[in-house]
Amino acid sequence: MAHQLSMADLPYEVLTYILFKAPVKTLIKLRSVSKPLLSLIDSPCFIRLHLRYSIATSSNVTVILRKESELFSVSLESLDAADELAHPLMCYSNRIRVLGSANGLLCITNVAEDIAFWNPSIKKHKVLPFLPVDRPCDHGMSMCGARAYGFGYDSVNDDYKLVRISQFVDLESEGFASEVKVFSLRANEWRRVEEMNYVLCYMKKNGSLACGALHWVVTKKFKLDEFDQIVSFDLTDEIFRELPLPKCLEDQRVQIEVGALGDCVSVTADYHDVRVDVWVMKEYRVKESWFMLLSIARTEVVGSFKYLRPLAYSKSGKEVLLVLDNQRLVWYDLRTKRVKNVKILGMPDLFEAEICLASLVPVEASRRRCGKKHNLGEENHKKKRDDFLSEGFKLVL
Amino acid sequence: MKFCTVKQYFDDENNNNVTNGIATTVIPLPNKHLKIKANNKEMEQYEQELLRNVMPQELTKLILAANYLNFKEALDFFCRTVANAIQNKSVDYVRKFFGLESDFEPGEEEKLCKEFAWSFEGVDED
Repeated sequence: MAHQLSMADLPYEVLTYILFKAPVKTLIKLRSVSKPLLSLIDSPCFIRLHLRYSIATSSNVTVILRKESELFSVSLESLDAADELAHPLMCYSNRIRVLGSANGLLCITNVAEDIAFWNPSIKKHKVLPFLPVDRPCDHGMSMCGARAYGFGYDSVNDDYKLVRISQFVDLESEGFASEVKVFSLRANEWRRVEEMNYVLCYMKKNGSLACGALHWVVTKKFKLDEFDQIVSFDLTDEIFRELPLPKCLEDQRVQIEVGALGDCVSVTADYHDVRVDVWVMKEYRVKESWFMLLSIARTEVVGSFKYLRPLAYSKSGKEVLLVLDNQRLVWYDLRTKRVKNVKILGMPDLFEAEICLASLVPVEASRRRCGKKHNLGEENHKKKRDDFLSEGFKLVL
Repeated sequence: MKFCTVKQYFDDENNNNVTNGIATTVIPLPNKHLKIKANNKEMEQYEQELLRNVMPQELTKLILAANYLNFKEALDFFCRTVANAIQNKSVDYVRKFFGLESDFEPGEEEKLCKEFAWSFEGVDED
């Protein structure tokens, strides 16, 4: 009988290409199909390639909406219905806060100040070791001014890190100090790092992740008339640096907020009653690469709003999803400058939004660093492929 | 599409399984693709038609042909079709579709299913 082809005859690369197009929930289910599929889907290489594919093609992107104790996720591509997520930090109150998102992992905290790294797509989490509060008196200050977190991925060390900045101020002397601690998933411990010589402008705002660094809006001194600046914290060398602003925003009395669009730093400049501008830094740390992505007049197409935040590009890159007043979501078309309201079934009336990828990334430090050196990655890839082919993808005859 | 590659494909001894049927399906694809590229609804319909009329073996041949010819859009389309076909189906359905057999020890599969029970929710009837 002539050999009949079955899917089992597909080359390894083609099979992975098919798998990349399946949702994560399906991939988890496919692990139960056969041993070769299980070891393929669980391999660090596949997980990394799947993540890279999602980022490159803007697939598997979800919007996480949080209202008090409820968390919802909705696909960015369809924005149709919100699925409720059960988070793993339920305690006497289910109130939850999202501290950041990276590569499909969310960092969340509850009222008891438990903190966890959580991949909602594979429903795995890890609770961090408890870190006691830092005290202002230890730094000769009279009170705690702000406490901010930032969560991100250190690609050089293949490590996920949570940064906590405790800011202390002294109202009389206008002095300030900070204590900065970093939790590394790989080391599984908290470590103290260098101080931050700036004053956080916003008391509780999370750091924005872009280009391997976290960003906050700060001022140089603890004074009212100081100009806002952006400070970056590199997740690899763990050093604070100033990030230059667009030339026309420098030394201006305009309220700014920092964010991330795609993997670029964005700045939202609020001219109050007049308009809101959104700038994007095309090339990281290159001042001249700042460009104005959009400018919306307050009373324009959008209807009146107090507060605007850009969240993500559409898959085509032609539109930007904006959050207005933490109550509405709209698509802004960059070419036509028109706005389209978004209605998500089951969406809370008031929310905080965060972008999260659907990924297979495990909530544990991977054993080997795969893919950083291309030959090492390829070696693993080849070995997996050989194992995969030889281990009996049984032919249908 | 590169026509020299197409000729090579047919001449190639390893591709004994290529029949005229495949050629007539794959080659008109670029034109069809260009026509229906902008229209998602039509693509969906074509996809449904493809799934109904084409057995996994045929789909495999189409994928292999598209891969060999380096025809990215067709490969993309067929792979997506397969991914969609297995999305809300049971593990047994997927096994039949891929021509695979379970090689797990008796307790292993149950353990996996239990640990990730949530991923088996919402599965269609076979």
